[in-house]
Amino acid sequence: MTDNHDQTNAANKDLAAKNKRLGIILGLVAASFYIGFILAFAK
Amino acid sequence: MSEAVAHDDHHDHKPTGIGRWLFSTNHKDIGTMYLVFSLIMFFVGGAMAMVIRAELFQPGLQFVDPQFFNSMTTVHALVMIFGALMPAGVGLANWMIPMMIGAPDMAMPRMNNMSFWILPFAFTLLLLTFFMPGGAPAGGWTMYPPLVLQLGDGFPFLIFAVHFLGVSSIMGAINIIATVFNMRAPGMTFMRLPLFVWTWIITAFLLIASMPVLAGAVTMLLTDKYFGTAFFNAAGGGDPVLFQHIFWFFGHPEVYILVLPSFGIISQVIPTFSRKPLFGYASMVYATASIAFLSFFVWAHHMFTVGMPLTGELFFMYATMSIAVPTGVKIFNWMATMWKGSMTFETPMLFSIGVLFMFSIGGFSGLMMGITPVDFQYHDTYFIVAHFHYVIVPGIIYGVFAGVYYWLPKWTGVMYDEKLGKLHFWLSTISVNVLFFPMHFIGLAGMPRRIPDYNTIFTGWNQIISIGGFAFGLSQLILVWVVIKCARGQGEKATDQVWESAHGLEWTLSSPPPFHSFTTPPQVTDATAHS
Repeated sequence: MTDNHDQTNAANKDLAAKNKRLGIILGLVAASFYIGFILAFAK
Repeated sequence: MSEAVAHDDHHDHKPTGIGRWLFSTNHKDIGTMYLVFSLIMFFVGGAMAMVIRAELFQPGLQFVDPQFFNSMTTVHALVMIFGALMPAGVGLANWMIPMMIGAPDMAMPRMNNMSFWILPFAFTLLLLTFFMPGGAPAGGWTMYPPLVLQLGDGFPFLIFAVHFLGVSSIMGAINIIATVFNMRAPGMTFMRLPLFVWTWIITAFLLIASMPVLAGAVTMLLTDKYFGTAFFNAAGGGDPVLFQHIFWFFGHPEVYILVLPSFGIISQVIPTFSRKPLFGYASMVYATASIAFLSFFVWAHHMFTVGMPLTGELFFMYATMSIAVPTGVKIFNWMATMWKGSMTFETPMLFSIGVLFMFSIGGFSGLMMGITPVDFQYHDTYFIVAHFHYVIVPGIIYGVFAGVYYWLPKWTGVMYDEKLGKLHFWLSTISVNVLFFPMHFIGLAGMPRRIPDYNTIFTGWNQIISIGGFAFGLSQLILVWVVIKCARGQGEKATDQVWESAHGLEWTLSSPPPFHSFTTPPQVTDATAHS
């Protein structure tokens, strides 16, 4: 039972890390589009 | 997530009081909040439309001054697009995506809460402008400079409201992508995903690619007004037409951000009530992706009349027409799904068929406008107003209605009142056509859009249009009554399956579903998957 619980917690932590990583990557993509568009037209 | 999984494991209870909503991390509660917010905004934006139609009932100035009339057209559009349509789609996504893919919640529940609560804050900023010197935005929802720069104290409020709305949408999009990519149940491969989920993945990528462009454009407006830059100021070496290019580079994908979830909903509803699997599942996925991809190459068809090289006009004309191909694939696939099916016509099916017929009317008038030389005749007339309202009202809002009627018994555990649902459909459908179809005639005859007064020859049609508008507005009260009845538990108890031919994981849950669903991921096979 305890082993099972530990495994579930480890899997949850792994999933949380994956979600966070993907969220950060997508957030950076959006932020770079935003800044890129402004810089592209700045003279 | 995983906060969500851990939460489910240890505290399977429903929070109570105001805290349940303020601090909610539950996808169902957040979905409900999005949908309620959307409904409120639908009536706020609708009330503005009523002011417009009351003013236009007769030529001359009746009730409001021209400045306020312009504010009505501008804020009506902003409220409907960003306050009613987008939150409705996100609300349905929040409710249904985790249940459809066998996940316990959205990937980032706290960010989900934040995405929602930014919205009321942003709309407070926007609507406060009505009480400021200079009034509310009145230069059109497209915010073209230099006109928009003439706005008074409300200008920074408008700009920050748009920024916040963009942030909220991007956070929601990231959450949806992370949820679908990382939290699908075992066996739920991408080609087994329900079409509604597919349309939302593609919509989420569109949001991430296009919302920062809008945010960038309005930031440039802000710096032009307050920090001495000249992005769009011709006197300083800038170009006001550049704003139009940037705006519509966002604006056209935005149309698909709104319409693709509606396509996803009717792709769930039509097979259920035709008692057949969706025809051409894979081609539907590829057609949706193609529409999204092509939407980034057609923006200048909104601005043919500003002047551009002939090569540019030809490119944008052909690119625009090419979108009809994947759209046609979808329309024919829906028709093929219904072909020889054992069809029944419950309210969700009626609204879905309404989308099919009337979105096509808007699609065909869109093709007409895509033809550059004739667009010079249509530009800035009521023909354009007719076109995009056919796309938005029966094309998108009807899709949302179809989804609400389809899933309401699952959400509440109570069957909605079918008689009232059908009454809502037929009154809406008659009135929406009385409202928008004659706009084609007066547009072709030369009535310009965004004016509070008009030539007396347009009086008759305008009166008919206004009557259609009031009738459509009143018809929506039926929906409110239907939803209230279900929410109060008045009606026949819904079964878990709800619709005899519905397929998918969401129908394996109880009606209403438990507060925390799929705490143990289900195993998905071909037999249980949608496709």
